[in-house]
Amino acid sequence: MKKTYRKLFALSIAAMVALTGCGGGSASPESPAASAQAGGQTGGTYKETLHIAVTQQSPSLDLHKNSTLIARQMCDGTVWEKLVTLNANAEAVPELCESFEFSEDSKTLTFKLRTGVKFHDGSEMTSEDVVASMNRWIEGFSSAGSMVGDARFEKVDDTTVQIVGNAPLILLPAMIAGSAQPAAITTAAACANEDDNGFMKDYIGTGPYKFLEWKQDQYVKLERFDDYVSYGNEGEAMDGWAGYKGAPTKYLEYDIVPDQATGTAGIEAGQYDCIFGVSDDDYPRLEANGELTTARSQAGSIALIFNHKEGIGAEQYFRTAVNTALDCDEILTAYAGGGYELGSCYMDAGQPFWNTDAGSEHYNQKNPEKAKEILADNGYGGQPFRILVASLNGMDKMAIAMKSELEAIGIPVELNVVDWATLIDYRKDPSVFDMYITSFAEVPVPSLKLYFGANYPGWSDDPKLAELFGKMTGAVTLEEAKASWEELQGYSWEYLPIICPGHYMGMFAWDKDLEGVNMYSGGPKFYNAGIKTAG
Amino acid sequence: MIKFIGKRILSVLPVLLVVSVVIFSLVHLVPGDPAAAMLGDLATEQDIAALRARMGLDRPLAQQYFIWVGNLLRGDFGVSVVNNETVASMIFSHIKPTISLAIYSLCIAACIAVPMGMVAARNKGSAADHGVTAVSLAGISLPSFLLGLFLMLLFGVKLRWFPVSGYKGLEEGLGAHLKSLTLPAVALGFMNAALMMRMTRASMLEVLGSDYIKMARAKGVREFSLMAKHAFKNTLVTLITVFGQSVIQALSGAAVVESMFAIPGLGQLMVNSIGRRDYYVIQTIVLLIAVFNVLVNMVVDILYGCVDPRVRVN
Repeated sequence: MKKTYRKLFALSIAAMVALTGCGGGSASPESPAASAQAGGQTGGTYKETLHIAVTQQSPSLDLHKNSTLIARQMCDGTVWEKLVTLNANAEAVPELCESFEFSEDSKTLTFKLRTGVKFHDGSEMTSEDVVASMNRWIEGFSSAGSMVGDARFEKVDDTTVQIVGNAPLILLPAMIAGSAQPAAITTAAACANEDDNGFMKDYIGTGPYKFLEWKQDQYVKLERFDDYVSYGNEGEAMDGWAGYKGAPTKYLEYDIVPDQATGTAGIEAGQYDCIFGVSDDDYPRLEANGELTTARSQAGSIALIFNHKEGIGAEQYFRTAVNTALDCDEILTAYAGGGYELGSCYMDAGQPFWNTDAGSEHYNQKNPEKAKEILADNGYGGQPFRILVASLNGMDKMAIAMKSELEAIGIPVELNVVDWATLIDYRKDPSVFDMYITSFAEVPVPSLKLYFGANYPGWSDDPKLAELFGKMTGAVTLEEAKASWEELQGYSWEYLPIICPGHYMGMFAWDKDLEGVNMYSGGPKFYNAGIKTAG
Repeated sequence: MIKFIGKRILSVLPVLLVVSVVIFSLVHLVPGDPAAAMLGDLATEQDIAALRARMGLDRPLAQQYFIWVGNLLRGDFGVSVVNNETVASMIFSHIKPTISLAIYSLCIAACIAVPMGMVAARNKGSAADHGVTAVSLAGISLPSFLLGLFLMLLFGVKLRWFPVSGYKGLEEGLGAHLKSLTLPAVALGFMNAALMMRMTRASMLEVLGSDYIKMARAKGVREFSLMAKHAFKNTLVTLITVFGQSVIQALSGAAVVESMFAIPGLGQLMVNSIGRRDYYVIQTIVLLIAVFNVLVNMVVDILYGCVDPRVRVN
């Protein structure tokens, strides 16, 4: 009998091994022998497919109407290109246009288009396509709509388009190039072909990769576009997002791996070539791994947004006391471990043109005694301070650290920890919170910091703030806008529509043999990236 | 039998009606807005309001409910408010990995649990018995995500026998398919195996102590034949009950394992849909699970009658 059991057991194990092929001990589920002819700047052959593990997927890749970061990380500059893009100084420079110019009053913006640019469907880019794309973008992106009002792009001739605004449009090029909803250029037909939610059905761009396949909850796959018409010179380093794109890798596959730990294990096992969203706990281990390259960059800023419409957060003295008491280092450590950088500037490191230390004397004071004095001088009666926060990416831990700091100065704190979708819903109601915590991904111009607007939840309806904001958006030159921005940020640190405790980092890891990853702003871009297999 | 099945199917209808009202109410009463979730955190209130109107979410709740139920009765499960794909096609594409995973995990569970439970019962008090008891205790106590992490580190990262995560469909070959599912199936199946092991052992012990087994032994029936033909058959009623529960659990409760191993199954679809408040998808999956529960229980009832002539379903 025992022999029979043993035989059965041995047979079942053998069957399992045979079926799964687990006896081979191969390092990767995919044959590394596959390679593709390089179209890149360095020649040689490259691994055919790059597997990039990302933790989430976007509802759509239509960037005109969707501001999720992951859609931009996958497709901005890769599938989609814009009339202009950002250089390393966050200035708009030509991409699909040859040049652009403003009228003297900056109200008229004219783009001279590049010729011979091909869409992924094989058609050639025309001014009609550009006009349709730009106007669809304006209608889908409220911030652009607010800036241009009723003005729309119009065709001037076959290679020229123009928009004439009622106010200066000096910040528009940077918004086109790098805002949360960048102005991707597609065909006029694709613009008109929308699904029931108003998103584009076809993803037809001009970039070095074309959209190939999207398997929900599995992967998004892009394929090199062989008719891509690049600009710049092969071999030249990119300046920010601007420059030559060689597309040495044939396929880019963004694998959806929701669990961070799984992504980390996957890159250690050689299953992925790059992973997004490395956790602070795993980062040191991956950094010490000789087979990997790690990178971190400022990905956005944290915003503690006061409710200015009602409740204790609407009191200037109270906001000042909270800001005076906070130890930003401590609360950001609770939030992200080592995955943060201190800094009083609302703009991130990727936008050096807009960086300023205006108002920094009010930042990170960590002075509880002074805060107590402010509260006492203004007759604070011990009203509870209600903080609304999502249990997302450590924000709830930051709120707990804040609670401890604020209770030490006599402010009773009530935390309302919810999921992200609930927070988005609750923050519309001024009666349920005094502050909520959120984050803002990098934006190319400060006019896209929505919390300066009186309609954005937080409702910072202050005449001086509005005046300074208007002065910045109405500037005729970028230098004037920058000066106004400095004034605005300086005042903002006094008025406190928000408290910006610092910046969070995006953390990434990739195979040490993967070359050409572009790390300018918002996470890795792979249009020049590849793993050489020969040559 | 047909009458029995007909009755059971009819009894499902009021259950589904109640489930539909409860799940619709719950989903819509939970704060959160699919339009906001879709447009991203930098969208303005105007953009969100415009999309809500476009999705029909600005209509009264009762009207939305009746539209949904009316469509359901016509076989239209609706369209995902997030990606505009039909819910039917989303569920169809996501149910395949879940079914594969469930079958694989149940096979693993049954292959481990039944022989080990029988061996433990046959050798009560021996080292093998203690070993089986310890393994089953560990299986019941160890959460699947923890076991999954262990498996991932050992077989994925260190030994590199299996992929750490990801899913290969059957169209990519049976070997690749099973390979991608092995670690999650073991993680999911181990707990079921533990439960089945305990139940097999307990029922086997009871049967082995009965008079007819003693009689068979006295008549010189060979041990294998005694165990497999005489004893095992009489434990089947218990095993079918446990197996039925495991099937339901494997199909409806694999969300953690699916998320961890990036398996695009129903569990992951459910979790993602809750996060983005994709109402139609959540409602349909919950209804499906309710239907599935009823069906599995019905099949279990029928199987009782097949394996034990003393039980008559009618």
